[in-house]
Amino acid sequence: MPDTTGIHAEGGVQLLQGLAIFALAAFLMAFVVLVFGKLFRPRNPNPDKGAAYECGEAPVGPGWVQFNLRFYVVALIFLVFDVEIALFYPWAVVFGGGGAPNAGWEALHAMRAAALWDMLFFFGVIVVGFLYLWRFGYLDWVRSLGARTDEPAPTTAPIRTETVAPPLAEIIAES
Amino acid sequence: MGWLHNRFEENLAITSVDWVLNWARSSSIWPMTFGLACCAIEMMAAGASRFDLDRFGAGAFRATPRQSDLMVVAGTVTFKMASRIRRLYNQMPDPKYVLAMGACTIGGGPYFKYGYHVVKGVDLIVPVDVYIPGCPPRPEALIEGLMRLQDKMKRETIAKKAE
Amino acid sequence: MTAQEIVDILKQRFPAAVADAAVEGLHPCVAVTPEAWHDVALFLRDDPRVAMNMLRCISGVDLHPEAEIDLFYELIAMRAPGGTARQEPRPPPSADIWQNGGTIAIRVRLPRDNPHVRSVADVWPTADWHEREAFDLLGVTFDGHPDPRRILCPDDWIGHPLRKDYEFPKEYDSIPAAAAGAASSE
Repeated sequence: MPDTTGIHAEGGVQLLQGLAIFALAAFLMAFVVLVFGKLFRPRNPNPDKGAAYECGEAPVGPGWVQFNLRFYVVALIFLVFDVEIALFYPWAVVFGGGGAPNAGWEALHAMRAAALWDMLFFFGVIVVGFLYLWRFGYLDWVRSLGARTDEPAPTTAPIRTETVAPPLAEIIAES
Repeated sequence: MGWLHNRFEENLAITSVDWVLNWARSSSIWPMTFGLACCAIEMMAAGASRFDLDRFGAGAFRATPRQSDLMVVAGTVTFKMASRIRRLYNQMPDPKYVLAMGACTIGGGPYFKYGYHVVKGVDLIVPVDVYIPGCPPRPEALIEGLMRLQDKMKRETIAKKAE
Repeated sequence: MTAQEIVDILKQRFPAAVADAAVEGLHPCVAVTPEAWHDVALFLRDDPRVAMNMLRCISGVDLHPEAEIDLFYELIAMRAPGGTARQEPRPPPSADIWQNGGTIAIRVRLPRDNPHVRSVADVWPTADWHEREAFDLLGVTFDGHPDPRRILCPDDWIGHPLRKDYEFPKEYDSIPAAAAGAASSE
């Protein structure tokens, strides 16, 4: 007569043992590599080694500088589109066609319908974020609404008028 | 130097450790992406598929000195560049090696006499392990120099040096 | 437009500033006094007959035993396809390539000792770096230059290396510069 509770307890102990061995192995692997490197690697610090790498130039200022907060927004925008692609692609591959599962056609249709509605819901959430970005101008690099005018942006860099000699048309008009 | 360096006399265990260490190091020389002039073109050719430095473990050109073991000084070293080269060399982690590739790098080359701007040999700036003559050296010559460097690396030991 | 026509126009417009001209040969050249050079440059660029709209190069020559430095400004008039460079409205292109509307070199002769000339970086913006190079290697000072720094040598370099009597540095940045036998003027 098997004692099911005993089996369960034994399984728990085995699980704990396995976890312990796993954790120990993971710890040892990292630790041994670190100790091994510490034993053999030369250690010759110098001021240049501690300095920031600037392609050989003498570093100007500290490496810890403030970045424009807009890069954070750009990263979030990237996330919106990236997550979209990362989820859409396997979803399309798995549910879009290919081999039929063993479960029969009705179950397949039900599953596909569920997947479609799930993804539409997810897409709706993403689109809300996208509309938000669009509406409030986060897709434009020049953020300020006050700076917006109806004039088209200049297509070329402004000319240094203070040093450039007068253009030909003026000279011809004068002479 | 590391904790084990210069601590033991040479014996079987130490030479075995030496063998493993030197085998590992000489089989994965990672050069720095660093070209100064025309010799760098030959260096690129040596790294590309026809000559394929990767056969000897030296094909991973790193974009930063922090990850490189080898600095291939490929091209004319000017005085303006000299301080940058020295800084890059200092930023490389030990153990580090330098290949002087080409006539300019070895001793000024065609600029030896009338080049006001050329350092007369990169060994005035950083210690050089292997000199590769040529103007520019062919990729085979660079590979040969790399193998001589591997020979040199395989002779290294962590045992006590003979007094 | 041939070099002779350009020289004739220049002599008519600036009789005092334009000296000897050598229009024969492969490198037609006309000498201009340093004082008048900036006005001549503006005229060369803006006169619709000449319209030298491109400065190709500034070459400096150190005439060492003589006490002079020559600057050669190599000019070219690039004609747009189907018309002159500055014709407005531009006619429809009959040939779809830009054409050479004439070239000339202007020689400006300066004293070797403390040479000064007015910068033409405001006439042709490309003169900016060319003049920096001439300053760096030959020591010609360009008055009114927007950015009068060295361009090739390090900022703390001593002397101007392409002068014929330039003395090679013994060391730079504590690196010995003169190898044995090097830098000895034969």
